[in-house]
Amino acid sequence: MIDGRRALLPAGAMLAFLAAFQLAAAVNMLPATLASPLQIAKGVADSADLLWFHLEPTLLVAATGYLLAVAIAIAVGALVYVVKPLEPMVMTVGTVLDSIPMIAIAPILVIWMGLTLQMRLTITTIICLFPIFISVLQGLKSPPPTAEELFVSLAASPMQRFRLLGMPYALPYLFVGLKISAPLAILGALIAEWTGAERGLGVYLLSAMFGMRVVALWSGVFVACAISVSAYLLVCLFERLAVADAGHREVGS
Amino acid sequence: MMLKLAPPPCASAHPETGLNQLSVEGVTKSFDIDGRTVEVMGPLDLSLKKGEFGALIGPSGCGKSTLLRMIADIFPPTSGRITVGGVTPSVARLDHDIGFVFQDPTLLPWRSVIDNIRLPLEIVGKSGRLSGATPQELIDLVGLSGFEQARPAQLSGGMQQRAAIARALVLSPRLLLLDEPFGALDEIVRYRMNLELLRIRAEINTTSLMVTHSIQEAVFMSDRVFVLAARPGRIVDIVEVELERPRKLSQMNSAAFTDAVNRVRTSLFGEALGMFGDD
Repeated sequence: MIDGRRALLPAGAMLAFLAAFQLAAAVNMLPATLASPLQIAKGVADSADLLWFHLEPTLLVAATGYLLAVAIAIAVGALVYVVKPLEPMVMTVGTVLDSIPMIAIAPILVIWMGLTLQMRLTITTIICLFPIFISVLQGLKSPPPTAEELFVSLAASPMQRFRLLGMPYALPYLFVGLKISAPLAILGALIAEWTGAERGLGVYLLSAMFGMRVVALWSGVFVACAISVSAYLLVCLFERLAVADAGHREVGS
Repeated sequence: MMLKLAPPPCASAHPETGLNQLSVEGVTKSFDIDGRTVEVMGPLDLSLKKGEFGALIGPSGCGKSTLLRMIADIFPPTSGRITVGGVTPSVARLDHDIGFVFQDPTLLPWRSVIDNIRLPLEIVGKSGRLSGATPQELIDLVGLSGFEQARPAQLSGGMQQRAAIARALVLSPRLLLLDEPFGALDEIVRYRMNLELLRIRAEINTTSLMVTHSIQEAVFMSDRVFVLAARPGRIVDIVEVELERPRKLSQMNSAAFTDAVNRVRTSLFGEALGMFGDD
């Protein structure tokens, strides 16, 4: 997946950074608020069960919210593709929705929906939605004008035009949005959990923060970063399968 | 699309256009540009008999491609009447009676050659006509045997355009419209494609109208050349080409060919220089 030689330099730099970090800890140069890499590794290993207990609902909300966002983005994209005059309206609503700081409207959603799964899914979906929607819309505009004319001359139905022309052309664009939104899904789930939940990585981080448990906090942060990067890489993997197979290499991002 | 007020003329009620597979009468087109109405075409008349091959030639901006798109019902004329096989373009389009070949082959890059040629069949669905040639027969006809599974990007420009022609023929249309189909090809490939298209047409004999920028191509391919002038687009001359079919490259040395080329050239440049007036 990654070219070995090209990966060598970044991996080396990462290892050097971790080694320097560990060295600084060994000679007591780290402030008490920082944990050393080995401490973090040990922290993750020691509390693996507890971390998984909290990680499970976070992953569930992130994945479900993300998939909901994908479905909504494609459905609304199809609607705008078929009914062009809707685009300015949909774009205005979308831009406003995306401009609202999520942390500011989260309390409204909490009062409205309570500390429920629906509330957490709503926050995650809204955060993920816009990048995916924009990329779908951009992609649906990418077929050449003659291809659109071809489908008119063939008397294709709007759904046929979307399925056989618009969506395949939009695929490489869609993946740009999917890659941007994959880590956002984790962020959304964490923000939602900060507003109040019984379980979740966000809950774990908050309680570690208030308890001044530095190693636990860093372990949680490490896990959050790890799943964000994994989500991104997973989307990259899907992209390779879908886009390469679709003969899109020349359009790929 | 059924809002057109004029009823489709019955073939027998129109003796003069009864045999015409394509009839364009008094067609105009104007566009609104910055609030101004710009007349880009017409009024313009032309007709093609069944099995006839017509060429449209004229300077840029004379509306050749616009005319082709109005005939294909991609957009409507501002006024005037067009019939294809005796019905309005929109009825003809919904009946899949019009095949369109664009200057760009416009193949879907993720589909193989044969899947691109099958696309119209897929859109029509199982209920569609099966009377015409199969995709495989068309692949053989346009000379792409062995390339069925190739992706468009693996083909040369000429081969891509062969696939586009096969796709336009797969539903056995009554009328084949070609918008500068070989305009992007070099001259050698272009001559070869001209001969290929003539050979294909000899087999299926679909009424055809081709837009071209090449005088030689227009004369070599067609039974009649419609010479257009610009602003507004209109026909300034119709040149009958008296060359036997099947056509051969050697006919390009004949007097009939040279005469027709000279007449088209005179009509084109005479108009451009303002030497011959409007008609």
